[in-house]
Amino acid sequence: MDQIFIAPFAHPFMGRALAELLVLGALAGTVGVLILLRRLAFMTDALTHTVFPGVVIGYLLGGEGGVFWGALAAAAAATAALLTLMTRHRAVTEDAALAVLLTTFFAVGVVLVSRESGYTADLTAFLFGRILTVTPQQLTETLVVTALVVAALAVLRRPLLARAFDPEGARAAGYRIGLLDLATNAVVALVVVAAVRAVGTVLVIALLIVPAAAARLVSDRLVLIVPIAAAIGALGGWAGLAVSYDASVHHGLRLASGATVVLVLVAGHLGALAAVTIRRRPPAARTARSTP
Amino acid sequence: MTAVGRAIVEAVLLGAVGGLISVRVLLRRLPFFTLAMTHATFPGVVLAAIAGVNLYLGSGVFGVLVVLGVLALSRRPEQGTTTAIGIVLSAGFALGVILLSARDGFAKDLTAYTVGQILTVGTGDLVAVSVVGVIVVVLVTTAGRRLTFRAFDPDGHAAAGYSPAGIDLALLLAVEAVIIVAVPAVGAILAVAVLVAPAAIARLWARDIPMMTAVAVATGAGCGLAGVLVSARYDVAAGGSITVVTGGLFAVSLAATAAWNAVGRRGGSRLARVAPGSTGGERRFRET
Amino acid sequence: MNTPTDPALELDEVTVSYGPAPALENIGGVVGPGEAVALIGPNGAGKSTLIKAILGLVPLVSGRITVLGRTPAQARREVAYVPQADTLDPEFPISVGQVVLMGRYRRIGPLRRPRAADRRAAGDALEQVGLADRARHRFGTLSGGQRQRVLLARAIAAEPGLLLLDEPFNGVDAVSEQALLNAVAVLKGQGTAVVVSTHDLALAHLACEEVCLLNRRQYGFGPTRLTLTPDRLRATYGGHALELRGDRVIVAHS
Ligand SMILES: Nc1ncnc2c1ncn2[C@@H]1O[C@H](COP(=O)(O)OP(=O)(O)O)[C@@H](O)[C@H]1O
Ligand SMILES: [Mg+2]
Repeated sequence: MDQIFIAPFAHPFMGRALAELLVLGALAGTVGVLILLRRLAFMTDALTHTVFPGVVIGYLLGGEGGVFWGALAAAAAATAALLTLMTRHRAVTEDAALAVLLTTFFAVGVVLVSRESGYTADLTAFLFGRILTVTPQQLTETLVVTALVVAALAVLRRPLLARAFDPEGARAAGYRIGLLDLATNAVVALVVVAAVRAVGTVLVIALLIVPAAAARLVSDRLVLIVPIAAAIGALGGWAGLAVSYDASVHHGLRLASGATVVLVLVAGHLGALAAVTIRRRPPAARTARSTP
Repeated sequence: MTAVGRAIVEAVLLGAVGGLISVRVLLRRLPFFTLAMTHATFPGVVLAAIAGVNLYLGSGVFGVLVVLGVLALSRRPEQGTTTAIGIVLSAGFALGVILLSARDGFAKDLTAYTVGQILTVGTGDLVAVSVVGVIVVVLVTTAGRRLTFRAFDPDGHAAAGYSPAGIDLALLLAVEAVIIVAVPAVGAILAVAVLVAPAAIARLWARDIPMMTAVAVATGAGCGLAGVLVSARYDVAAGGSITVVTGGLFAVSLAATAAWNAVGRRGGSRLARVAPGSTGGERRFRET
Repeated sequence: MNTPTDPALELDEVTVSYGPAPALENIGGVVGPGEAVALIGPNGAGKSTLIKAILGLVPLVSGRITVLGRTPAQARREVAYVPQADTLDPEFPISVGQVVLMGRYRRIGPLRRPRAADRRAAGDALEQVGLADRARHRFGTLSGGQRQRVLLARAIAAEPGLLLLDEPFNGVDAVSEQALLNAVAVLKGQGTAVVVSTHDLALAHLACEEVCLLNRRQYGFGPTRLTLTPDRLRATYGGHALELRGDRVIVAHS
């Protein structure tokens, strides 16, 4: 165990990768609860793709250091565009608008990047991230974003909860729903931007959805769901990283680390699902309770 | 036929077939589900490539598993369908990536599967698109009315004695079939553009389903053609240029119809009533 | 500012419209502190619209609404609204106690933890609707009538000057209906004005001193005994056959 889960992180680059994943896993697990409560999985996935042109443009203009700001600008533009698109036109349903936005933004990135010669490598980096080359500066940026997001969530937790539970009632109580939704989108966008460079789109969406879903299976009390989701996110990151390292170094099987983390998380979720299903038998009782 | 000629035929055919099915995807509110299916079909393609079996067969079998996976996960009420779809989506994509990463030449293959390579399609691919096209046309012409009924009023549809499972399965399998033929051309991530955007554009202009279908088919085919020409002229990835053309057309349509509606509202109720697509069909039904 | 003798709610020639035709026209009336008014009218009459206008959530085409001496938007902190429980997600991971505490959120503010006074107010409110023993249960595990009571408890915990209830008795069992009525009576005793939309004439007689008969226009506004006459009801419910059996309206749609 020690051999797999502790020893590899003695290498500085592995230590940094672990630190980045622990922070991102806990952060995304926490924000994921908000996404779960608001049923925003689709919007989140759209955001993970709409930052891609930002990553490309940032890279073209500013090299490695430009990526963060480019992605941030694209995510902000996407969020704003999403909101206006959806609220303005009655003939546009939210899911259609999201699908069109997601693919169009992503395609803009593909078109831009395909003009470059080393284009396949760049695309790969975006889809997977480069967790093993995380720099101390990136780690700092991640910590700053984490502090921002945690502060925002701490201040807004009550309005956000009220809005998620009962939009009409929250509006009647005088909360500005539009502003709260903007804040929600901004928080999700920030996490996506902070994470996408290190872990790639595939892992971001998984980190934002799977830990919260698993935590919701285990508990129906919000005070427990949030820390459980954060813990699952962090632990999944650790285990996935360790397994992919071990497989590559000791077994000659190269496994992309980001994707390994996703599969570890999904396996954990399925485990929780199985455990809960077995414990809650017989299912007849549930159906009886949920009928009004 | 030259490679560009084949690419044009493929893009136009795929655009028309995608446009036809996209109307059903939109009405039945399946865009996110379709997105998950495209992502989760991806490991099927990779597995088939590794095992050396037919790509269409491999991804087809996998796609059916995906449909079942989402349906099973979303049965838990506290999870909600969107969460279940999100989980299946990321799991499927990660599985494809893992499988690929264990192989050599990984970055290049990954690109081919995620954003497509329409310039390498062969005659076999054209035949596959045509076959799927015939299947979709048959489905829409024979079961169009039931699909509409089911999408508009699920309870009424069941109360009328129809089996929802049958029609749902038929639609999902048709969607999966279109995804499978779209992936080699435009890739797993961009395939959803072919399967959603034409109807989203058509919905802005058309007032009823037949007109919406006609506009969607024409839009899909037109964007396919324009996208390949742009791609050949400026040497950019074709999957990307097709999608950007489609997305641009959506933005233009949105602006144009919004402006039209604004003029209509200011000009009084008579004008507003004839503004294209300005009233959602459901709303009007509910009010009568 | 508002003194106890000022009316809690004044409607002055209120007209609201969503499209070309108005949804409500020239609605007028006054509700004093501790009084309750029942909004009575068929589906689509504009009852929910009037309640949203009192909350300041839909703009007025003309006329004026004064709530506790202020505009609706300014008065919102002292107005509580009870939505219909069946519009809420039964799977939401939130306990009954937390839902009731939401009524105190505007007082607690963003950073402070709930004080003992807030917890006591929430606990008392839950007690009043007879669900004190359910505080730790998940909201979604309660019956429809019980959920409605929890939402009323949330409104009570806010200690409002004006309480708005939109058809709170639809699909509610007799026990819950009684609990709701008792809680409303206690609030009125504390000086809270109540506006409740309903189809139930018996309820109007029991709990409300005033009624407002609505169907796009106003067909009457005044003391319950004088206003709830068969003639006026027939006018309100249009040409549909209408029967008054006991105290309930029975509407036969043609
Ligand atoms: N958001 C809205 N947009 C357009 N029309 C609306 C809206 N809400 C209500 N209406 C219309 O206003 C009228 C009154 O509705 P409502 O206030 O909900 O009636 P009630 O609550 O008495 O059943 C109805 O004809 C309804 O169709
Ligand atoms: Mg109503």
